[in-house]
Amino acid sequence: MTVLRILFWVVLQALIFNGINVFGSEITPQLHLFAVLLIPIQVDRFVWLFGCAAAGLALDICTGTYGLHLLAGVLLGAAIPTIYRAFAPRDGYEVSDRPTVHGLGFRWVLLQTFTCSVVYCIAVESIASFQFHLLSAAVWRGLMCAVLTTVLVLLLQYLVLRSSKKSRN
Amino acid sequence: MRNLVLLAIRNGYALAVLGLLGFGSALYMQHHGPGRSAWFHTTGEIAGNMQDLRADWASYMEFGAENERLAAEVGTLREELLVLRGATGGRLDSSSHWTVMPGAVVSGTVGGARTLWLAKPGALAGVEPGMGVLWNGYALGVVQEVSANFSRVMPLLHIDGGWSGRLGATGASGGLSWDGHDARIMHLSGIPRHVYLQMGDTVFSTGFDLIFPAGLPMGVVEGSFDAEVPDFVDVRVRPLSDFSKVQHVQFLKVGQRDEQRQLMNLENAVQ
Repeated sequence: MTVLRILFWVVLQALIFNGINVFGSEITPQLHLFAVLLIPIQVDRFVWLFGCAAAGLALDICTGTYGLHLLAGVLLGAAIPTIYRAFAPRDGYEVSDRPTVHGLGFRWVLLQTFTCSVVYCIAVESIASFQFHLLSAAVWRGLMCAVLTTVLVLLLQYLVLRSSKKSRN
Repeated sequence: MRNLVLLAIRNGYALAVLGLLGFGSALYMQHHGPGRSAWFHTTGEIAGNMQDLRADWASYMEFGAENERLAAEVGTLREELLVLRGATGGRLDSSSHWTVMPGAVVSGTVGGARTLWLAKPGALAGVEPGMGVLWNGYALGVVQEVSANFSRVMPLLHIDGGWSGRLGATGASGGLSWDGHDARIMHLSGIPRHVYLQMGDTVFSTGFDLIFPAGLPMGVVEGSFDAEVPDFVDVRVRPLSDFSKVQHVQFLKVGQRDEQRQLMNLENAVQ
């Protein structure tokens, strides 16, 4: 189910969201992260790594940006275990915890989504620029993209996901 | 050997990260290097078809505006055709004429330093690497590589692109390029300081690069600043193409281009 969901959102990203350019046609929301960040917290770190890499590669193939999203996906997949540890509740994650606003609460999802989006979007923009003198502009575009992605992912969390459990916060 | 295997098992995660990063980097470098065509041939059709679908939806939403623009362009072309027929008595110089082939951009964004655009058609329709691409009569880019049904276009706004521009119809010529910062400004370099510059002057193609015919509008002068080389200035040029609105394009091929290129390569080899 998770794999199908990721594939569905990767295709949506390629067909629809990549055509959305905000703020002077340079900022594109990376909404396939919505599905990627729904991978259960309890999985092995290899699953994160290969899951993010595979999603990135699929998006590369669908959009013709070969290697760009794969590299950003690998960086995100490698960073996610650390990010999740940093935002873990005081008594750690429970087996039934889901990475949703209905599971771990709005604040946790906001912090997690924004941090992951920052990593991914800055990686995408920096690799796409590939020039040191363009790095500051790439980081700025990456931050804008991360803010936009976070807002939309949070909206999707409320609109798409059903509440199956009370928030811990 | 056993120790090596144990080390690999112990550091499996780090090795996996490094391996994936290496694979991704190799893919990315190949995409931006001379050997990228094989990968584009393999997967370009998938990306092309998906982006084509998206572009169809987008263009459907803009039918009205596009029809008005096309109608205006047809009118202008008909007028030019009549003037040319009157001037030449209906005869055309077939030895050096430019062949025009209609096409459409299916995917392309503005602002990325190395963003390449996806367009159709491809090799089956006769599109070849090196062909110039026009939009609305303005220079837009050059075909970099082709698959069966799609082509990859390097727009004027690409930091690896180098174009040849001239100030006015007969003025000084120089290299036109983009530094990757502001999508509204390109730079025409190598212009002698004594050349008189007027804001709003048109920058035309020179035809030296065999990508665009001479006299094609590329941009307008916005200002100038001192170049690193003494006695020269760099001119700020605003591109005439509105890159965010590009849909229907024309592919250009000059007659006897291969023969001219061969001759130029021979000349360079002799030097």
